[in-house]
Amino acid sequence: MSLKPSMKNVVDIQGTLCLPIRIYFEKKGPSKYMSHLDLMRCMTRTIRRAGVPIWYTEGFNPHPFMTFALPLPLGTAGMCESMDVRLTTDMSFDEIKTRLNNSLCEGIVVTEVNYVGKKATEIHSAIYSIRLSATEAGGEILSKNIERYLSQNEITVQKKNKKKQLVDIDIKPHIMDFSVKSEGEFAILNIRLPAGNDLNINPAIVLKGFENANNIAFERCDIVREKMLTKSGEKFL
Amino acid sequence: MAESYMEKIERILLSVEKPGRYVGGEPNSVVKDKSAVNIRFAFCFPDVYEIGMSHLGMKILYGLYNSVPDVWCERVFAPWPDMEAKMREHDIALYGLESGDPLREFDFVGFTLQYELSYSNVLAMLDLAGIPLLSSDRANDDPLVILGGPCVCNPEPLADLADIVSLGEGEEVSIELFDLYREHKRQGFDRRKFLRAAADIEGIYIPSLYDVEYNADGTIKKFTPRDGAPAVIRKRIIQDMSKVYYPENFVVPIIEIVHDRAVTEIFRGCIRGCRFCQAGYIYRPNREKDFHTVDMQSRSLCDTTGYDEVSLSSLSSSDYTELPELLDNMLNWTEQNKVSVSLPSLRIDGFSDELTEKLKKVRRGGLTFAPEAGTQRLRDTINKNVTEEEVLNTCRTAFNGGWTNVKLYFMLGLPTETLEDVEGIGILSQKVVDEFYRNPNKPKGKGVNVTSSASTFVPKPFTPFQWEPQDDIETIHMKQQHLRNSVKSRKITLNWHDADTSFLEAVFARGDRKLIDVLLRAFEKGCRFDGWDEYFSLQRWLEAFEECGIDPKFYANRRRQYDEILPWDHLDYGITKEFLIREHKKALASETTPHCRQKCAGCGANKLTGGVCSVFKTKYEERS
Repeated sequence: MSLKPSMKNVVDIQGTLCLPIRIYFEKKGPSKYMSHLDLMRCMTRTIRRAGVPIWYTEGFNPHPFMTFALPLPLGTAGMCESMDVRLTTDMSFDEIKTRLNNSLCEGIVVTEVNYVGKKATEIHSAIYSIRLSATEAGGEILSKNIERYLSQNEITVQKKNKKKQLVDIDIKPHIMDFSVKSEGEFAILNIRLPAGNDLNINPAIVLKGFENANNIAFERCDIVREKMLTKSGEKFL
Repeated sequence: MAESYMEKIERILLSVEKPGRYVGGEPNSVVKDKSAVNIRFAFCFPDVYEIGMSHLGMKILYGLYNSVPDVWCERVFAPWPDMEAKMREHDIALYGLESGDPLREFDFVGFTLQYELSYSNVLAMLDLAGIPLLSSDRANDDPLVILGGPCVCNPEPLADLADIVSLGEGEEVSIELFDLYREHKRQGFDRRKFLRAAADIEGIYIPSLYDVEYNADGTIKKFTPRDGAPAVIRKRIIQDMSKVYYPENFVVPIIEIVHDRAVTEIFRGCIRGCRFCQAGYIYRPNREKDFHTVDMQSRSLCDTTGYDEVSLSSLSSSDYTELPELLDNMLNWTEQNKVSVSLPSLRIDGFSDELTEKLKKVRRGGLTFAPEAGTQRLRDTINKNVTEEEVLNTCRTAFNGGWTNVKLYFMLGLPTETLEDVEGIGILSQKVVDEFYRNPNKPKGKGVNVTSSASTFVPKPFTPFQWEPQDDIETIHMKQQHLRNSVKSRKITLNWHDADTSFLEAVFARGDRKLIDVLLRAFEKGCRFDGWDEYFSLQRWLEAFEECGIDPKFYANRRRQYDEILPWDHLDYGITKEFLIREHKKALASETTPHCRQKCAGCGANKLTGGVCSVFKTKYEERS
């Protein structure tokens, strides 16, 4: 069924009626080893396979219009990922979700399809849960050490600047919240860090800082981005 | 992939480059219940994921094998050296991407041999899988190691490693082999009995059933079958390309691969008979797929993969009889579905104005043509059947169509080549540049860029040049220097191929069973990924040869006599030795041979029947 101008949120884009929608998904398992570029390719093909009609850019080399809220680093899983596309034909959100889930690769699961909500620029921070283990220490010792490390008044780590050079920064002021507990051989760290276009701190640099300071190497380091929040602490939707 | 395995490899994945190579889980990959299958097949490609996943043969056989309910075929690629090191450090055996199960648990471990420089990876993969490298060391329950692909037209360097070699096209013969295996497994599997029985399947070569004796000079004295095995083993072909199995979908990789697109095969074999080109002989006869079938298969592939590009694959696209009909049909749906069609391997003489118009509708890349040699005399020697006038006409057509980039492929070291022929490459490239500036319709404000690439000629089995010596490395270097000096224009970009790797390629292409010792030694010395400049070391290989007391020049740089027994003489690829001798003599006299549709050259492939040798010829005559 074609879209009508009277329908909710329908807009006219260069002469085509479109409904901007947001697709929420999880990216975990083997899919977390897909880079952001790989993910864009994967989603383009998934949408084509699934037969979900979306708007293509005009011009000499048309490509599907698709924007992602915030790229995920390679190897990090995400439970709150989202991308926006523009629907060109009326199709129910449930139908889109079912079709996509039938075509997706292992580890990517569409959890919800909805109207576009907040702008991606409103993302201000993210909450990560991180499962860590090290051969040198059990879960309990490891979690205590992490707790101590993150409770210091100043925590100097290395971060790549825009010129891709490594520079020392103090990340203590940027750690908005954290908690650590032990679970068998693992230490589980929950941490809230700045995320978004202005300042984005990858938890991996915090963990690297810990490894360097304590002279150990994690055996397992499974990072999951659990939530993205706006400045006022609301969930990004 | 099973969670237990994922758990194991996740510990190392973040410390290696491109971990997406090692996790599986791609759309259209096939996962079966292992308790419900009889035959597990590990399809190994001895190169990195991005290369192997681009290979059409693997996609076809993966789909075909998995279409048999009790067969489960999985993919395996060579782990990049960083991953291999981590796997060894953590004691992780090489595994199938679909199940995560170690290769030792499989019934068959198959390797496709696409180029000689991947042989060291075959050894590395078997070793990483914990499978004995030599067939004589394998126990009854070890996997059966089977080799296929174009390089097995001379499998002798790997003969002692292979349990089974499958000659020619694999679609039918694999199924027959599985049937036999299933039968033997049910009766209590005896490896030796099975291998002996397999030797009776046409296209199946069991190297362990043959003895080789050598003369004092290192050449072969005698090749003797044992146990009633056939004296000559004939390759298998598919008769009807329109009816043979073709996959409805491809595994869609989650990381970018080299050829990341849908591919439809339009024909096998080539009518041309360029004398340096092994593919032009070993895939004979030329057999086309009906254009309706190509159209339908392309559309189905785009639907099931989500790819927005489809490539029409063959050895020489413009030789496809029904090309105009095919492109017209495809443009009906490709434009609407935003799918682009690519047509690689265009011949210089097949590039018409009409074709240019059609190609312009699809996405525009560069244009690549292969004159192969710089002078008419040498082009006649190699039977390229392309004139300078045709090269220039084609470039004129292309420039008229708006192209400003042209790539030209040449070879250095072809038999009978003189320095004049080498200079000819520079002269022809310059004439192409001049052609651009002569064109009144040339695109405004744009310069031309002609990229001329010169690879090094490698004499291959089953070609008229199989008796020829390869130029030694010093001569090639001298010719490369001469070529550089003969190019003056900055509009010409000159590339050339490393002579060292071509030398090793020449050794293994025409090698015999003695070379297995060198391979084992080179593998122990750490040789891997020899096709990759960053890993190839000729020095290391030369040490391996030295330590085994084998002279590589015996294989690469020696002229053979017509009456010498060649290591691959017991294999029958259709074409006869008499034909190759005839062609070799014509080459030395710079005489050309017309292509299969003009006149049958009597190569012998007609005994395999099919394609241009039977049906197709009449069809072609009707048209012209």
